[in-house]
Amino acid sequence: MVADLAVRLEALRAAWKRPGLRATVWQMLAAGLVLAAALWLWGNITGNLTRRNLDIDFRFLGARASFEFGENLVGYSPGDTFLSAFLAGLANTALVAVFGIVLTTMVSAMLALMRLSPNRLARNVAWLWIEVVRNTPLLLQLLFWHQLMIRQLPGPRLAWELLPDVFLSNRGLYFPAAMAQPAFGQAVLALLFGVALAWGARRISPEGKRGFAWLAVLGPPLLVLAVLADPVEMTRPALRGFNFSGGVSLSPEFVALLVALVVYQSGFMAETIRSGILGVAKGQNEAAASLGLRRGQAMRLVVFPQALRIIIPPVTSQFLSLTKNSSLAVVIGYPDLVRVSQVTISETGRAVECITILLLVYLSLSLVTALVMNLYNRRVMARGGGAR
Amino acid sequence: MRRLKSLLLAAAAVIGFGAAEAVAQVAPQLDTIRGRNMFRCGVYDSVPGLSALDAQGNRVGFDVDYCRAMAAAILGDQSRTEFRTMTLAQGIPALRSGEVDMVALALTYTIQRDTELGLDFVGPTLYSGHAFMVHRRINATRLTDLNGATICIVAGGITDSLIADYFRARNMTFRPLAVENTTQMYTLYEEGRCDVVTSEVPFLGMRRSRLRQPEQHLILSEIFAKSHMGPIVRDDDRRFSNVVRWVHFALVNAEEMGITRANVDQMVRESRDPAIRRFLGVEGDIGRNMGLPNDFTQAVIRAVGNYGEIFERHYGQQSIIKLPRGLNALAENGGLQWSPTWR
Repeated sequence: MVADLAVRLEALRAAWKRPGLRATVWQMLAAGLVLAAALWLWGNITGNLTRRNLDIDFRFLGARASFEFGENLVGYSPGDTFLSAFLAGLANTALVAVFGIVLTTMVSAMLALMRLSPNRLARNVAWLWIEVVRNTPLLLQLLFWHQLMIRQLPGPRLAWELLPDVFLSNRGLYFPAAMAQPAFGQAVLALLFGVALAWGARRISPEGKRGFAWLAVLGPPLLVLAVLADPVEMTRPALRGFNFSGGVSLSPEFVALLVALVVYQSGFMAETIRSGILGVAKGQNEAAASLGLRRGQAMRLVVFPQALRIIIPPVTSQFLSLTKNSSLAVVIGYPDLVRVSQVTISETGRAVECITILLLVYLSLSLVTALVMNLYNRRVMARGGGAR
Repeated sequence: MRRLKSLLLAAAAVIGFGAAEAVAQVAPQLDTIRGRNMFRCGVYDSVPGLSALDAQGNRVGFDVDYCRAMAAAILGDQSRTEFRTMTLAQGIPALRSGEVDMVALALTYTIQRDTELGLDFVGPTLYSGHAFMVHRRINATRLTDLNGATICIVAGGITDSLIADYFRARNMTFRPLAVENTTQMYTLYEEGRCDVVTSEVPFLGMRRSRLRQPEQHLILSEIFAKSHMGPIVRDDDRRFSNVVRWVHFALVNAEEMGITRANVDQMVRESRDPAIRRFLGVEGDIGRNMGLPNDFTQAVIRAVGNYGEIFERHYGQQSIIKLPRGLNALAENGGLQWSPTWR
């Protein structure tokens, strides 16, 4: 009996020494702990909610919201549902994030090149910019730009007419625009089709003429517009009562937020890009020069493509922080997602639900950005092949 | 396998414990307050008249006095009040989460807040109406002149809904600019970012007196929505709700009976009127039955005076805006403030 036990113990010990079994046991243990923690948290949340007489219920999203929202892309107006109010907030957040990311990329690439330029003035201007914006809080900069716009610009009746029909005042920038018509949507689809066409053609014959690509991209939408579009009707801003009406407008809040985000984030990103460029071996530059490439060509064709591999991962996280920083909009009154949730909380008392929505939205915005950037990164890495 | 089972058991035990914790009853609010010997009250950081710091750094205001009255009633000492400053949008979540015992942010009494959000209103402690203030230079004198205006509002209140309703019904439009707090709202208005700013009449008057050029601003005489405000508490504790409601009634009742901060001690000593003696807790045991000291009304009046005194101090003759009592006079003088019978 005792001997039997000893044999079994010995067998167990031998089995324990097999890495496979041991790993499985540890992993199950770890998984069990995580599960237990998750269950405990869940129990805690539901318990606390019942204790406070709160319940989780997202049905309020279908109820009518009565607050006025201001500028928005989705056409929300009071009397629509809370869901559409949230969508309006999301659209405003996305708008500022997309414009912010595009502009920041452009500005910071320029700053990085200025920082590396042999021209002393350009170098020092870029250095000053970067040091100032990196070392002051974003919130302060945001308030600065907002105050600047409101205090320095005249009221609507004394608005500056920058171009014919383009007015700048402390109510924002008003400019004329073509009235929307269905043909515009179809033209956008045609444009996408054209891009796909050009891309396909390039796949088939990489050495094809540039001209064909332009034709493929611009041809279809122009054709669609020529055939389908009604005569274009313009909407122009005009002073009616004490405000402009008509035209398209950018509010001071939107502009201040965009400027603040771009200026602030570009300071960080310029340094990332600069470090990426400096991270490319010096020999690459010299090799390019010895092939007879000019400085600009060497940067564009040799150094920058290689620098991209270093730049993209950190730049991704800067794009993410730009998107998340846009939630500071709430302090200057730009109606973004945070504002909608604040108002919704005080109207419906659904704080837990609203905060959950906020978290999920920012999380998914970030995940989408990261996904796109990772795909791009993979492409850049693949293009480099085994060159290094 | 055994290991896994014990693990699952442990997990189940942990969850079970969490659940057991969850069903435990909440302590009655009065006991919680006495336990910490502090009454927590949510007020505005800086809204003159309602709640602001004076030159000595003391928090003063109409809403502040209501907080102090509660502390005096429950704890016998008005200084046992802890003020948590918050914005309009933060008030209801803070109250529901238990961060504060009462929120005094001059919230308007609405059916949704009362029946859906689980709140109990005290009062209304102040009756008024919403009006607009405009820059004189825009030449608006009537509400219909405001079509297309940019209006500054505080996020999370009901004013934007009220304006939206009013404008929509008349086919008018406006652009809202919703900001975090009142100070910011008036700053943006003064800088000209908004044409119009809106609030209850007394608050507009209070703020106008603090603008750089008060004569450049006009408060439109038309009232576009009624407003009746008061502090709020959660409605999950009947006893506590009763206490806060009856402290307000005590303030009004004291004014009806002519009891003031100055004469309360004399009244306690000398009054032969059984109604007054019952009200002041000299006779009977009304206070004790509410779970309070029997003489809680005395403590309240010693701390802040009666309703009329509070009103005069912050809105009336002793304040900058010199608001007439109007709707807030006692019912016997043609106003809306009255107290149920103290018996």
